Amino acid sequence: MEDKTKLESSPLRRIKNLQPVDPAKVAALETRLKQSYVVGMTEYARSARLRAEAIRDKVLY
Amino acid sequence: MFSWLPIKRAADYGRLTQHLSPTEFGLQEVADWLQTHLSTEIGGVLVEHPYVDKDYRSTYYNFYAKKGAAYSPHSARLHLFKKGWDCQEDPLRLTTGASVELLSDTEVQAGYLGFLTLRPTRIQTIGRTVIDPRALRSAKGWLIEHRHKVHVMGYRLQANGFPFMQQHGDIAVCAHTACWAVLRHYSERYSLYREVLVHDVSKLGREFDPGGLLPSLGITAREAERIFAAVGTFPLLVSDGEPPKDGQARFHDEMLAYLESGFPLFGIQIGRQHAVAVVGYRRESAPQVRGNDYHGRAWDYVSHLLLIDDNHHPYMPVPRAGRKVGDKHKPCIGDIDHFIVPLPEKMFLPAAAAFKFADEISANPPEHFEDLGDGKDLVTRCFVTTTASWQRFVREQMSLFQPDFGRAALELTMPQFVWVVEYATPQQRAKGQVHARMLLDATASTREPLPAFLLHDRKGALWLDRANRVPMQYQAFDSKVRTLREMASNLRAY
Repeated sequence: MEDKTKLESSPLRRIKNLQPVDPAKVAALETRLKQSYVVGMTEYARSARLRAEAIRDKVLY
Repeated sequence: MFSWLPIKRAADYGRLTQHLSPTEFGLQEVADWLQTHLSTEIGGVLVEHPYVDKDYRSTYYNFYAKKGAAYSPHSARLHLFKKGWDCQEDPLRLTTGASVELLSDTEVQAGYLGFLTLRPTRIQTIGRTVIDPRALRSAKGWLIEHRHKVHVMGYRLQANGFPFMQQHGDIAVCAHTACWAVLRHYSERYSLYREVLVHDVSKLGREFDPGGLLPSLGITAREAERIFAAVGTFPLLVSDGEPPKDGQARFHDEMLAYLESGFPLFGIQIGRQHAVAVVGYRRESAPQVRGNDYHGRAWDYVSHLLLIDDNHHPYMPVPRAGRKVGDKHKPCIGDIDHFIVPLPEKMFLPAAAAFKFADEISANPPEHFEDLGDGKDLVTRCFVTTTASWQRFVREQMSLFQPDFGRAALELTMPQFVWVVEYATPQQRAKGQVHARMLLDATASTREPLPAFLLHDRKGALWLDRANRVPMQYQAFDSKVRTLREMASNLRAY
């Protein structure tokens, strides 16, 4: 019921043949992306920060 | 005062000495520079002297006027015109061909190729310069550029290009000059950013007034970040590091993504202790890397970067591989091992995240998009655009899409900036087509597992209306879209 209300306020409501994606499939996709994309970006952000900090005070002429 | 220097051959630039003081303006070096770098498109130079240049004046008031040696407050300006143009007197006017009528601004604009200012500082005298890439011998490729207003002889013209100047060497060094070039482009292109003059740049990096000596001792990347932040941008320092793991964006993937988004970069060459502005690139139809280096990303097709390097000339192409000429190492892309991208405020998702997410989706595609992972030889391209630009693109392509898709694409609530990810085979890229496209929320956090708004190909669309928290929806198109066109980047091809 709640989801229907949200769709009613969305521009997507005018699309014919709109099919909600199976919530179990969406949850599985999110879980996989949390394990790969989110974890990967957390590691990347940490190392990128350290690499940037290492050169911040090098002088450029 | 104005005078005309006709150019029939490169050696004619040497005759600038008949118009300006050779010593004060370092004309030998200037003539050599013009002969070397300007193309044969140039048919004449309109010499304007005296000229009040705001950037030189900022250093004159705060530095040169305090010196024991005498420096003039007046600069000179050289306006470049195409072949067939001339300057006539009584009345003073620009002419072309056999025309005797007074020409309009639009007519004169057709022959105008930009300007150089000359500072009366005796050495490294080429000051604020905006030259149309067509006026230079080696400027070929995709460039970030903008129109710069020029008032000359009562005409209101525009110079198209990216700002350039040689470094002063004392009150401003290479890193100041690269910051100035990027910031002048920003202030001319976006009303959001204020204009800063050369002397302002020399001060903005420090917590205290650095006076006349400290700027000549160089600045750090931290100070460059402070300069960019002082004018309202949000500088992100990106560093080249250890080889990336599978699926991670390489340093150059990120560099190209920001460049294609229209953000000029402050390129740092630690080995040379040098800084440049990166403003464009050249790409080829064949990959420029082989074997393990090939990742199927747009960067793999880039052959050169185009730099604003104060030691050289505007839009200088530098190749991937370095080479030695005599004892000198010729500049190459590998010299740039870090860059600062001055981002606008609402950009929270970095290029590295856009690439990582794009790779995850193509490696394990959602239902209905299985062919993204079918081992197709897809090349991934990422860039930022505004929602307004996306809507303009949809409007232009409306006839290709079914009406309800087009309408939802126009009405979907999105933030000011979105990342566009395009997947295309090399054959599609050559025709300006894509296989599938995804829009990512540039304000998303890297901790959100699904930062997307839309993924679509020719068969259907996966929608995520994030603003209305609508669960993910799939739309199957009634019939396959004939072709999906590539979105144009914010750069211009020369």
